[in-house]
Parts: sequence; C-alpha cells; structure tokens
Amino acid sequence: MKLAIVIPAYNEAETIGNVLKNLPKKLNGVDQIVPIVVDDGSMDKTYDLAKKNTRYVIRHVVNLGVGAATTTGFEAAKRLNSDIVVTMDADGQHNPNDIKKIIKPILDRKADIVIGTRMLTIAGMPIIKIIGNWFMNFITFLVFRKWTTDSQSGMKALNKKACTLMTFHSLGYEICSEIIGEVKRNNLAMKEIPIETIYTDYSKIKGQNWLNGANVLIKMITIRLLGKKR
Amino acid sequence: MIINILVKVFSIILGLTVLIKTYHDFKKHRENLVMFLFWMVAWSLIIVATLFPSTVTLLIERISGKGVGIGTFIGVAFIFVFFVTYRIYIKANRLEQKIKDIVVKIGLKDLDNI
Repeated sequence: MKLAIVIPAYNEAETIGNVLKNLPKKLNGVDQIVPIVVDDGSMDKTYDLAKKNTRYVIRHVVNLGVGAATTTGFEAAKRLNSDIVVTMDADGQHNPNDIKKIIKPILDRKADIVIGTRMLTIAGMPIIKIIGNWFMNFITFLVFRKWTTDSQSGMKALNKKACTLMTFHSLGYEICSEIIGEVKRNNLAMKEIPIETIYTDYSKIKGQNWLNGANVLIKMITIRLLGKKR
Repeated sequence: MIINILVKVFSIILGLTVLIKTYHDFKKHRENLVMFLFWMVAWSLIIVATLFPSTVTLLIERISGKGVGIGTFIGVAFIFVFFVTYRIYIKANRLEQKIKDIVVKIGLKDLDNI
C-alpha cells in the first residue's frame, strides 16, 4: 500500500521544512510514504527547503492558487501509482499524527474519501473562522447538495477510486468545496474524522479570509453551471 | 446638488485614472494603437457626458426622436454592459483553465526528471 501526502505550498519557507520533517515515517497498513510538495510559484525559498526534505517537489512556473497546486499533486500521486492520497496544508496547522486517523476508514474499506474535520473540536479556533467555516459549509451545501461539517478543511484522504474519478476546475480555495461536489457527483462514500488544528500566529494569517468567501461563492456557481461542459 | 457634484467628481477621477493607465500601457507597448485610441475616445466621451448630461439627452432625441426617453437608453446600456461583463467573465474563466492545464503539465514534467 503506497501513501502519497500532497502538500500544496506558496511562500511557506518558514514552515515547509518542519512540516516535512514531522511527517510519519511508518504507518500501519502502509508500505511506502511519499510526500509530494507542489510549490505554487513561491517567491521565497519554499522550493529549495522542500527539496532538502523530500524527493518529490513539483514547481508551478506561476502562482495559480491552492486548487491548481492540489490538482497537480493528485495527478502526480496517480502517476506514482499511489493507493491512498492525503492532502495537508504547508503552514503547519495540521497535526501529522492525524494522518493515521484519517486513512484508517480507507484502509478498512469503509470510505472512499475522508474529511479531517476541525469543526467537531473547535477549541482554540478563532470565532471569525468558526462563523466563516459554517457559512462556507452552508454555501457548499446550497451549490452542491452535500453536507459536511468542514467543507474547507485542507486535510483529506482519498483512495485510488476517488482520486481517479474526481476532476477539478478550481484554481483557488474553491477546490475544497469542489471536492465535496465531486463526492456527490461520483456517489463516493465519505466519512468525517475529527482532527486537531494547531493555531499559531503564522497559521492564523494564512488561509482564507472573508473577502475570499465571496470569490469562492462566485467560482463555485461557475463550476456548477459551466464546470463539466468545459 | 451635492450628490450631483459627487457623481461628477467620482466619474472624472475614474475616467482620468483609466485614461492615464491606458496612456501608460501604450507608452510601455502593452497596448496597441487601435485599442489605445478606442479607450481614449470612449473614456473622453464618458467624461464629457458626465460634465454635460444635457448633451446626452439632446443627442438621444436627435438620433431616436422624442419617443425614446433617457430611461430606456440607460436600460439598454445596462443590459449591454452586463452582457459584455458576462462574456468577459466566461472568456477569463476559459483562459484561466487553459493556463492551469499548461502550468500543471509543465509542473508534472519535474516528476519525469526525478
């Protein structure tokens, strides 16, 4: 069983080294762990620092957004013949120990995709993020008719079937909602597992803001209306 | 009265900003001569229309007769602007998608070299 850990990164020189160093080296039921960093056109030393810590670093020639970087990561994972793909953020907000929790339903063949949800244990989460996340969950449900408690979570696990069936058009953060839409479209089995979120001053600055929410909404509607025709 | 003045000031600032930007782009060879002239004339007319709105009413009456009011004209203009915005949005989306496909393809070439 081969596990690919896809980490989209844009200007994450401050954290990418530690994120990669802290990844698990061994996991039950997994023979090989392959971290794949997709450097989304960073202007700092993200690429060099990632390259020091993992073999697979892919560079985007221009910055497109986390959606495009995740798409590249999925494509790379498929080419490397991975059986499970995990996505996680490069800002250090995810606890690498949660990887074994979110891949378990896939190893047990109880889910095609697992969402690591931050909303079931919201202690420490800034109130603005809680409101923002519920708002995005609601919007995602309105557009794609699939409910999740954390539609915007960056930590997910997918099996080979999910990775093969899903197609994406997103460039930015709307990929999180598009993934939920793809779960519905392809009738995939989804599970949610609570994960820990490490909120540092750095990780609080990173991620989505309120203004981006409106942009994500417009993009989601466009994807819903035009996505599959393009 | 105050709103009238504010609308005029806002329109002039917006119009002049576009004119300066277009001129700047043309000087740096980012804009071709035809498009430069088109934007210069179009935005100059917008500024003139903002400063002398009565000329627009007169012009509409001359062109279409007394039957068509300024309201109808503005309504048609709104529909036109929204249609153009929609077309630009769709085109921008398709272009974004094509750029994404290219960047992903180039990125994945790194994988072949590992």
